[in-house]
Amino acid sequence: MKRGCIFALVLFGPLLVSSAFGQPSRPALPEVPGWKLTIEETIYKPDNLWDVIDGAADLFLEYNFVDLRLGRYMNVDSVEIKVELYRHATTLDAFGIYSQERYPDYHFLEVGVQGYREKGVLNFLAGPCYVKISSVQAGDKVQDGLLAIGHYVDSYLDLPKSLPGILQAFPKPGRITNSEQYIAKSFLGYGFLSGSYVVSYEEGEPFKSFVIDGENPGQAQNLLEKYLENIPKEGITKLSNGWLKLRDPHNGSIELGWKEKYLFGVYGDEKRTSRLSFLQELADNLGVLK
Amino acid sequence: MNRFDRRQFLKSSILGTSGALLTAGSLTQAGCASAQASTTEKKTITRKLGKTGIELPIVSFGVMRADNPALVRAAIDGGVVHFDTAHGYQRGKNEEMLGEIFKDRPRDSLVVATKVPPVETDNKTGLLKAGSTSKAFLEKLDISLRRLKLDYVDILYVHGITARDAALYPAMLEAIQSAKKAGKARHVGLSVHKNEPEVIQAAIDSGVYEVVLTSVNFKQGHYSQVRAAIANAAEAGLGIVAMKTMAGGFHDKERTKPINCKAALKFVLNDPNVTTAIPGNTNFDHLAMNISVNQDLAMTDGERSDLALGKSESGLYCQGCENCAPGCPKGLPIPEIMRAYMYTYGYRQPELAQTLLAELGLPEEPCSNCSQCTAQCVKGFDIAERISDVCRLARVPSEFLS
Repeated sequence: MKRGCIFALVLFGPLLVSSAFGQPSRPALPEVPGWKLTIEETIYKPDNLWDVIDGAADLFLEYNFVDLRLGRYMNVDSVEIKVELYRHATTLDAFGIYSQERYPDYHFLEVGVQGYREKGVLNFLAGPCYVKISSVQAGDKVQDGLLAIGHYVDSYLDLPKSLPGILQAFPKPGRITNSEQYIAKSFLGYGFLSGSYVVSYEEGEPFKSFVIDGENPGQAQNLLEKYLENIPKEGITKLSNGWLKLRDPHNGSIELGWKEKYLFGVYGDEKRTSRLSFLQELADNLGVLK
Repeated sequence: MNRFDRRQFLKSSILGTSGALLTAGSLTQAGCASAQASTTEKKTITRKLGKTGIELPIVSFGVMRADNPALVRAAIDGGVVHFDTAHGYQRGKNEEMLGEIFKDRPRDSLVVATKVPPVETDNKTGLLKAGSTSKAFLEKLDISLRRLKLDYVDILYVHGITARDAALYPAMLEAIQSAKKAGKARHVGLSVHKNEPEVIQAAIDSGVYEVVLTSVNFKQGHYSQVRAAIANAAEAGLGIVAMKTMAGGFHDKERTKPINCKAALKFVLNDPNVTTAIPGNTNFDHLAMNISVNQDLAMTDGERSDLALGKSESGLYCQGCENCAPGCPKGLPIPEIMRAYMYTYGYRQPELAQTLLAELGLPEEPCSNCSQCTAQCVKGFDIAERISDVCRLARVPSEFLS
């Protein structure tokens, strides 16, 4: 997590400073013409987020949840729309929790960094905020209202619009659009593997690829060694270029490579013998990331 | 946190696979089979879930993440049979992930619970709004079942009830009874994480709910009331499933002092009226540690001490109001000395306390000439006793403290 936070701060810190978001003098949510806004006074923090979203709170806390503001918009047609404004410590944290709840086949929109609208729901990512807009009502007026309010909130927050740069390194062939995830903690179920970027692929058999930013080559090496301690010796074979194919007792077949501060690999495809060329392309792309 | 033996866990995982093939009727034996094979003659502790007829190992799994199916598979292989999810977790991905795993397992080897929320709840009052209809609830249940690839769940909870009137809301009672009648839920219950005693009593009074999923932990200020409500529910034949046993995982709001989660889990399960707990395992270490409680519920002295520290930490904290100061004829810097006391007994950093005491330049026995302490603490601290206790540190050579 620490690595993730540092990474995000380096990447996005300067952008956050320029944003008007979080100014104490202004309301949490904007007025929208034609809608009456009521903002709930309570500011939900990590110790009472459960009061709003019950057990789902645990995962939000893993992504450094800071606070939640709630608001309701109502128009003359009695359409009522709820806005939940979740603020996280960094843009990467917000992307992480947003990516945990997003399906690749949603109807995506240009709102915030990225957003989507489904029946009664419009969710989007904006800088360190995850914005959820919803209504229990149905119909075109509701869907239009979600969109209008979504754009107003996005414009009002005025937050940076970029996805984590490291995602650009993942090869394009077979890549499932909008499948990217950031997993803050315990990747593959190992407590020491934190801050993993994961992308799903559909090329022949489906598989997933991941990158962990180890901060520096030494730390990446440490992670590799620690991971290998969990793999039986007979489950480790060398690939032609020195990288490894592993039989992880919990996660199945994994091909693992490393370059500079990065640890990366593919998993989830038990049939294919090797995706070495894929990994090589990923390594090359990581090498040119700035 | 205890380090777990991965080899032991892998061994138990492999051996435990056979346990998962047994039927629900012999869940007890399933748990025992894997446990007996993987540990030295220790049996899995199981308890009956009220009057449902289900018997469960005391440690179950609250599935809070959708990104690691391997963890759930390992749990099944390790003897866990009860999995708890919710309609709303990760917008359905949680249930979908479980569905992919469960489809390859004998249905009667698992006890699956999901939680479906009323559509509209007032966050402030906990009361349900008009949109919380039976129809809307049942539509959500159908979606959950599709995601889980199941025809029925073993336990269907109304999710997040925090008020008596919400527990007794007719549309919700109608919905869960309807789900049960339609064979979509074997048993029904509610989940509660606030105003637990009131809601648990309502669940008893309803005559409908069979299971209560309640938050309960060692840090609750009203733990005695929660425990009493649990006892009443158990007496009435309801099954009790515990959640939030780890009390958020940290002693402090800043999340810098981790709780001994194993001790916290044991604390809750030492109440025999609690059938099982659903800790949210996030990695294999956590999972193995929690599963180990299935065979060993006895608390060690160290675990008791860890929990006592957490419970008493707020009692160690001097708020620095200085109301006590005028009462001390010697004008001692009482708040600072209380800080040293907290360093010693709260943070277990006596060297820090010693440094602070040295800076204060106190006499060797600050209270020596007073027969009775006239300083009063608004929190009820025994000021003289604490001063006398902690100031002894000033006489201890520093090398013994580091």
